[in-house]
Amino acid sequence: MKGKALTVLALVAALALAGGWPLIGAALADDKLPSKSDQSCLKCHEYDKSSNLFAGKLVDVSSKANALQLQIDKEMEVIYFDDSTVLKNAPSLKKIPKQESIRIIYLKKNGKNFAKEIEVKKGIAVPKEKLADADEVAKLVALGPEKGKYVLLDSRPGEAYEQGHIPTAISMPFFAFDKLQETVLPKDKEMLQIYYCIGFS
Amino acid sequence: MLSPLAARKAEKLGYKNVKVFHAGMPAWKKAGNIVVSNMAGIENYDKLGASYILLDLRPGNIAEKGHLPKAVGLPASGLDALKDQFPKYLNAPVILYTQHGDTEAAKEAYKKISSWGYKQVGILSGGFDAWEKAGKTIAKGPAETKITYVRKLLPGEMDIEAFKALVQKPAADSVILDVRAVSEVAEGALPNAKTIPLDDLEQKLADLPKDKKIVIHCSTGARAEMAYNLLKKAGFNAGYVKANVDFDKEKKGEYKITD
Repeated sequence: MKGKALTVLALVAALALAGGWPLIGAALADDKLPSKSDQSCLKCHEYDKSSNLFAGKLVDVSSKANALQLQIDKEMEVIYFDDSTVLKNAPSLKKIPKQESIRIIYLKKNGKNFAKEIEVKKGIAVPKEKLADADEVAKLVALGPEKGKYVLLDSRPGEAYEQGHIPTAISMPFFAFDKLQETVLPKDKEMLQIYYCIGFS
Repeated sequence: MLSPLAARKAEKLGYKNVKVFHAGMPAWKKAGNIVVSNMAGIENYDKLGASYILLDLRPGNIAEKGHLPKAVGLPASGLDALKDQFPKYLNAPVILYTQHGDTEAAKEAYKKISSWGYKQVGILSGGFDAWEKAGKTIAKGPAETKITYVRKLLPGEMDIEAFKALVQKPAADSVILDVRAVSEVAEGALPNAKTIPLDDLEQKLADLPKDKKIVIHCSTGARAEMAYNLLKKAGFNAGYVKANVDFDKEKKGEYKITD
């Protein structure tokens, strides 16, 4: 079986040479393609130690060309898919919001990146009793922090907060949490705190 | 994704009443609530050289005494008179201000502009008063009367007008590349365009010249952008246009290029 696969690969490589294709993709064995990952993913995952993996943010999906574009740090990767591509954590590719973090297991087909599996990053589960909805927040905002006895905290980066935030919210970027907690958080440990960010869909 | 993690950190610090508005910003806007912007937000756009729409909602005679630089004044006939001047790009940032911040007039304008489909509308926190108090630059005389919003082009993106001109008058140093599927090309193609479906592009790189700029289009710009990134990686001098290119099915050879 393995011998046959190698022969096929050699044949593909020979064809590629004859056709003047870039050889790199076709000549590499499927199980040893380099992984590329956005820096933000590497904070929690060791994707750099695996192979055949792209992890980044979804930029666009073209159903006309069966291709998608993934942003990995400042680079763009174009990856093709078809009906055999396994999709996880999303009903369809078109339903994945742009900028969502996704992870793709890929291989090379005809010199092109082909997605074997596309997985959307799962949201972090929050128990029901700890969830607030838009109505609850709107009611508090209408009262104001003093009457409503709450602190509303925006976990997004500072620039996003400056561009637009929920009225009465305080900027507390997640990555500066430890530095800011003493000055921003209330002294009263019983006081209601509500955190929000870009949300999920 | 960050808010649940922040909430966990707060609980670890001993806070007993911590909640997460997990649906976050998109759900807040969708429910019809207002969003506020900060002065720093405007300054960030200026620093980045990004275009934005700034509307002064106060009466013209008051705006004349002092307004934010680049602000467009509200016409006497009201906000609706400005609608036609808004860009097609619905993610264009729109910032509204009155004398004091989120007043009823500001909220009303916010709701109207949001109902037109604009997704990045904000009311300036503290309004003109806060801007003046902070000692920021104030422009005197009548406010602007026209919205001039120019979407910043993405890396490799070509201006639509420049693309139209290239289609009209081919240049010796450029090639137009159409990356739509064969079935779409059958309905019509731009004059002098080379056609290679995006799907085949990586196998047909040898067909493209390295000494010319390759200007890519498709039917919307999505595939063109992907083709641009593939060609750039392969070392080509390429650009693309984010435009709708539509071909008339009835009249052969007729086409429309719009943003």
